[in-house]
Amino acid sequence: MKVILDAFKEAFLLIIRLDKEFLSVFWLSILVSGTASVFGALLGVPFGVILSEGKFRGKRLLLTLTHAMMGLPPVVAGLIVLLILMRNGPLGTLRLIYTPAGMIIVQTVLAFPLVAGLTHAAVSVVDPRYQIQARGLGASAFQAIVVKVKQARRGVIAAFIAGFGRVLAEVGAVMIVGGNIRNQTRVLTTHLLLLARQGKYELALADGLLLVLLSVLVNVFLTRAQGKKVGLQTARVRSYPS
Amino acid sequence: MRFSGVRLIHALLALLLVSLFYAGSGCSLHTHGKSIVVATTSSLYDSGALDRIIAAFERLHKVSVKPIPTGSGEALRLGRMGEADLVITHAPKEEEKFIKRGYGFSRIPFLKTEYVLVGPKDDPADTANASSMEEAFSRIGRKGSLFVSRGDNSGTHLLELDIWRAVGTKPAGKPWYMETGQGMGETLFIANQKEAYCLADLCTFLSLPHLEALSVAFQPDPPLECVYTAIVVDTRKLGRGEKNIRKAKRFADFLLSSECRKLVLEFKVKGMGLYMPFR
Repeated sequence: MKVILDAFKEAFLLIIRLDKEFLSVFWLSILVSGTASVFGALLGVPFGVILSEGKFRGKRLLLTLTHAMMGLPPVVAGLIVLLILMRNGPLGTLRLIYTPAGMIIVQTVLAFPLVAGLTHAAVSVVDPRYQIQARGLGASAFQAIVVKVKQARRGVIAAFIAGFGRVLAEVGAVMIVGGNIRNQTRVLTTHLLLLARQGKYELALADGLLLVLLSVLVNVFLTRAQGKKVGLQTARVRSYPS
Repeated sequence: MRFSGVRLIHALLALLLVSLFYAGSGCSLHTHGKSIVVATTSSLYDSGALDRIIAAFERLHKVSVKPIPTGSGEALRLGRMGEADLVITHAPKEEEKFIKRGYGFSRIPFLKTEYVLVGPKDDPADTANASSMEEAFSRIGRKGSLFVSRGDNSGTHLLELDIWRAVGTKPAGKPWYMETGQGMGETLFIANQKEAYCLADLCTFLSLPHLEALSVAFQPDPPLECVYTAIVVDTRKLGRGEKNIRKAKRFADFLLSSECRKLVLEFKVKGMGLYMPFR
């Protein structure tokens, strides 16, 4: 037990001392995972809305596929993206392998289905009477959908939180696509793995603490964005006598 | 009728899962607790040679071996912590220290190969015309050509650092110098993608696929030897039993045996025999 407590103490001291190596991996984690979750949301939210509101053949299949992709193991995503971005791969000339840009790409691939699936779940259970009322008041189909999505706001933000959480925590994809190169493609998770393998447990714990810290900081803001009322929000929708 | 169909499928799936579990456990449960852990430098592992040696040993002696590929420095650390029963490394200075501090019994060199400088086919730093490995490194430093290092305290990494020191260059932090912190295989893959120079053991380099952008840029003559040494860890020092010491000693003896020598000489990579028994 003492060993563990000592390790925590060491880890705190390392963070406070703002060691250059740790700052570098901390910043890169924010950059890569942050950008990837934003891209994932920019693609995933509209996709999720389409899954919820669209009426087309194969919608069920697409939804099933999305759900399956939510569980795609990050190492598999990493392997596939490696095969695409490697020099002999179809996009090899872009020279994106072992770069932060490549890492953002693979993490976007991981975040996007998750955000889409959860957005679909959040939007599709919104009371349809919102749309009906909006249409009744003269809104276009699109505007009515926007109203519906706004009602699902909490769920959509939760989708983003989930997406960010997933990519911040993963290690396999960024390891394979990034190569864990010092000061270039090393992030908190891959740095931790390296340190743990070298037996530098206090340093590895420092990375762990930074990961938790980062997650808490981001989620403080996101949870606030979900809105002040924590309880069930029921809207007063009057139904008109037909 | 439909109901029992679903039940049948469930039963078959359960049967499949159970039989997979048994098949899997059959492989590992028998050897659990009876195996020795061998921490090895990854370059011997990545070429596939160690697997062959271990397979032959396991067949002959009925002792199971668990190889853990890392760098030489880390292998020795695992030995110090008692996490490994035998270490295979190629870092002579570190090995001496290990023995001196009583962590291991003796150095048993059993295999050798050579180090080469690999690099992009167009050789931007003109290392082919260097007169020595040191000069080749010096040219790379001056030109600022991309260089990938293992950066993991492995035997290869420590030798690489020695060479940089010998030519008075400090590559750490320079924009052309990349440290992967990983094994020989992964480091070579990165060097390949980045079209960079890298110090590698010839055997691993030739045994890996997908290294089309790299070729041997400079091969010293006489060869820069890479000697693999086995050390049986003295686990008594950490209060652990002697059970594994006997098995580890058996493995070390096997490494010097004629069967192993034959295996080494027959191990060919792309038609070339690149490993040699040490003596």
